[in-house]
Amino acid sequence: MNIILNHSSMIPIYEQLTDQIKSKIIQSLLKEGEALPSVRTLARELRISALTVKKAYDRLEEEGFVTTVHGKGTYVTASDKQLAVEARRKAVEDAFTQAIDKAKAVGLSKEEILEIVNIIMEDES
Amino acid sequence: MISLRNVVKTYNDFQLNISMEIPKGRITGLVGKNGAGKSTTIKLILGLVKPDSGEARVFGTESCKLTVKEKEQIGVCLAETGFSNQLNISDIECILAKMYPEFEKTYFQRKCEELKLPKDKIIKDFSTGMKAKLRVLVAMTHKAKLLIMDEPTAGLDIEARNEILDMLRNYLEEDEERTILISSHISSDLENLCDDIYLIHDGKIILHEDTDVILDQYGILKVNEAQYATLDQTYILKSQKEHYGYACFTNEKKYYQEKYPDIVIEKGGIDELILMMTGGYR
Amino acid sequence: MAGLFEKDIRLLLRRKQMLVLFLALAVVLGFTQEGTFILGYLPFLGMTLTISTISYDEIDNGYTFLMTLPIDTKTYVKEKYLLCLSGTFISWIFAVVLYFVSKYFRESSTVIANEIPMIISFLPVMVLAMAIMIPTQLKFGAEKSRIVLFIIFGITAILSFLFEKVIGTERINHMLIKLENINDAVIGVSVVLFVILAAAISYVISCKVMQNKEL
Repeated sequence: MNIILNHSSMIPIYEQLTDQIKSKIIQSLLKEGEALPSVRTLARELRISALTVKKAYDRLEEEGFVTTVHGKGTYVTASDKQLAVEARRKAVEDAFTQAIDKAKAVGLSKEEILEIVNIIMEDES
Repeated sequence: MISLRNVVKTYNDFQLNISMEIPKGRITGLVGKNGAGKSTTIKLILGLVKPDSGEARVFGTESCKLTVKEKEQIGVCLAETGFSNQLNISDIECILAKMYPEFEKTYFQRKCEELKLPKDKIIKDFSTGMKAKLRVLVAMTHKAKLLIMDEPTAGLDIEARNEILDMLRNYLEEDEERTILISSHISSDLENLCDDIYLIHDGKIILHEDTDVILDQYGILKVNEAQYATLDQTYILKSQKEHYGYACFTNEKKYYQEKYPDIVIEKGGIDELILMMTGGYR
Repeated sequence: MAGLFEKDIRLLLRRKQMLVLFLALAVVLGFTQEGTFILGYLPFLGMTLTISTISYDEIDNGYTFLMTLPIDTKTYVKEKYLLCLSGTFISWIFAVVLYFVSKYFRESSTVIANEIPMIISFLPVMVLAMAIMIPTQLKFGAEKSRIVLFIIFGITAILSFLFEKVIGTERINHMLIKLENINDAVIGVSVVLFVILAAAISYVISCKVMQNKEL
């Protein structure tokens, strides 16, 4: 599998891995039903710990991109784009929930939070 | 696979008191300064030394009572000792064949050639690198379910180290139940290989964490006096006085990245972990 | 144990030149020296050579590594005794052959039967020496055990000297004469029993020493 990891980056390794596999699936470089390399094999190829690969695979499974069949391996799930979109939506919702919790913890009100969102989105456009 | 529960061992001026659990299929790293207790821990696990109290178990059996059959399942590579240095490779090959029923003769011979180990010299005339490679090979060629390696890559250049690490990775790939415990001073080896790390200092385990968590979430904040005064200490594990102010070791890098975007934050690897947690960071 | 034998025999064969030298020396001595010297010398050599494998194991913390192999301390000790006994016995056989051959050449005739008790008597002495040397080497290591052996010989010499002085040569001769009158078979059996007992005690001590060794 053509994964390139940047060990000096501030982005956690398992996140880099998850992102790269995800984009391969979305771009259909990894086909539906195709088997991903076993945890140990990928760990060996990339020279990282097997636990990291396992975490990445677990994350991908949570987001619906792959399914693990116990004893057999990990496979790309039906590339029903809808499913992928659903999963990504869910991931975004989770991120929002986290941010909102943080904001509330610091004492921001609903209006202040919404204002921050607007400002950020305005900056981007 | 390996279980140490409240194991205590006292020597004249040193006491070891640790607990550890290593499940099947893991590669676990053991780090710490010289004299911290790494070798003692390994000796306790192998049953070479008896604990004063507590239990050390491998495969569920007390280490001191391991049967011959159980020992056949363990491959050992110790730092400064091995077969008599008056023997040569074919001697060792024949000895291993008689000691381990699962000894893989052809694999051993092939690897000796690949690693360029001299067939005619006795071990006494091997270079440091060759001795180390041989020790690792001896541990890995009888299909052991558990490998215990004490400083396997010490004294080796980067190429040789990578050769050995790759051998270990391949070894694990062949059988998911295989487990490895490896102690080392060479952090980069451990960072690229181990699933989790135990940091031992003054006879105690002061940290046990997954490797990727260490690499991803641990970091060092470099702050001046003013910043230190107002710093949120919630996730600071340890601080060291520095000439510029303070170096603060955290296990929640992201938290500080988001909260204090101006502060200099460096990645934390195993070396930084050891230095910060055991004092003496530069 | 097979692995341990393999290791020790290979270690011994490493010193091929020395072995050949000793063998040549033995043959020469066998023919030049007054007969029985060779009967003591060769087995003693066999014994010390085989015991020397202990010092190979001891160097550079070798025991530590050995004990991680699939053997236990009892097996290790057993192998040493077996190795030593076989080595001593084989050298003894060789010595006996040499002895008779050289005697034949010198005197052209010999009555073997008369010599048998004398020849055999070397064996229990060797076994006794082994019973003392193995646990000593295991406990104190090769270097120190030489000193210990020295001390033991010294003490034995002093004791026998004192014994003689205190009891007087006369009475000793009386005792010896009495001994001669006792049936040979009785002496033979008691010697054998004594040696077996000594060996057994030695084995137990060796096992204890190995078990308590700081690895």
